[in-house]
Amino acid sequence: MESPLLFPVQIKDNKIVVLDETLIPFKEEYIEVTGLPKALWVLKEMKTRSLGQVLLFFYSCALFRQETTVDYICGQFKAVRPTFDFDTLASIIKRQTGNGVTVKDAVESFVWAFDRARKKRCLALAQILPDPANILTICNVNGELLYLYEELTQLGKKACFYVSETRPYLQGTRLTYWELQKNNIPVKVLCDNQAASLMRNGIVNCVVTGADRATVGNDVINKLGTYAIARLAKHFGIPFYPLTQYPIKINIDAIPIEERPKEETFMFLGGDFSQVDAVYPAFDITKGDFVTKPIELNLFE
Amino acid sequence: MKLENINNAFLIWGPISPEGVMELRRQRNLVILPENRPFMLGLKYNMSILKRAELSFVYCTDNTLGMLFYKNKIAKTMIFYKTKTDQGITAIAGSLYAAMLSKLHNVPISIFLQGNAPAGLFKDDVSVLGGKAFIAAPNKADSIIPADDEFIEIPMLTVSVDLRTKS
Repeated sequence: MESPLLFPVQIKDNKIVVLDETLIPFKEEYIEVTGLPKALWVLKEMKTRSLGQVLLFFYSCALFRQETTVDYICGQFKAVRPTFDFDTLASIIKRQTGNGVTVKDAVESFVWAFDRARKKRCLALAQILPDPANILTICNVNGELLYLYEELTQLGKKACFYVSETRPYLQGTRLTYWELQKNNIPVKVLCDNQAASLMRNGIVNCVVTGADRATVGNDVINKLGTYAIARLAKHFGIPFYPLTQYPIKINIDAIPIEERPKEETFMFLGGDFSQVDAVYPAFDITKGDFVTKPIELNLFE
Repeated sequence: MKLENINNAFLIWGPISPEGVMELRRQRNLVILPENRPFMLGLKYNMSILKRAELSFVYCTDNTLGMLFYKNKIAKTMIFYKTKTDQGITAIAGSLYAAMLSKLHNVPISIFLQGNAPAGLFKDDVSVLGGKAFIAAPNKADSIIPADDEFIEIPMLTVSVDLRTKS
């Protein structure tokens, strides 16, 4: 199984190459990032997100650290995407370097360990999902659903993914549906507002999502729409499993939620909406009460 | 508009009717205007009615509702239905989502017969947005969930006084 979303940011010939996720499914194009300003632009313009922003941060530290420090790069990334925990990533780099280990070596070893860890995480999740697993998901978890399907299949379980389209950027339709369908994995797309109907009608029996932030109390911050799904799932007795990493001890409500420009609410609609007021918090908060079990990435096992 | 500037808003779902407009004019609260995918009624039908009635509104995608309820931004939900029986109402896709999120957050729900939106507005499905097809698979029908009407039982539309005072 293959998807460019598994590693949407890579280093090639000493340059960072970023898959432009905003162009998928119509084009598969890559952006060359040759300096920190371009990296920050890529982040701001949502050309990459999720795992892509992790890799972009690590590779920026590996390539641009000569000009500046990891802490400075971290501060710049945080200014663009305040909801994401770049501090933890910076501390991983600082912990892994020194004693002859360069930032580049540390990053390469992290990426290898990360991929191994997410495969193991998918095995752990596949073991607890029902058979058949009719999985509701939202946004995109960078190819990890391909790994999950592989593990489910190896366990002899049948699976179908129900992908919430994830307005306004349509990451569900453009990325998740696209990568699953390309790999001939059973998948259907729904409007974000159809989650309740699917749950009540017994069409889905579990929920799997990503998580941009997680706390030790099992609270998560993830793409807008996740909270509604988790809340409804709890009502219908459907298990909700977020894929989490680096949970920290923090009051989740104290984390600033990034509110994106109102123009992005009208993404893909065409027309002039400059006179229309809109609200677009890019993420929402799901308290641990609605999380059945976080499926944690264990990098250091 | 930022979230912090939204308070005591009225959420509308479905094609708004003259009765609904009258109620909103009486209350004068900020209106939350969701897209209502896949038909985009928020943009294509409800927005112009709210503008004509000079009502203040803020547009959002449907998946914003959870965050708005979580942050206690919504004081009332108004659902516009197609048909009504003693058992409940039938309304456009997503009505159950709006109703259940309201109920789970102890927000009162009012129901109104829907307005006369042109039939042509109800053609799109989830594969299409802004006239562009995002799912071009030959077996498209197998790849999408159809936007069927949804039935909502009467108990789901009722928020008890006890629950309301608790919030």
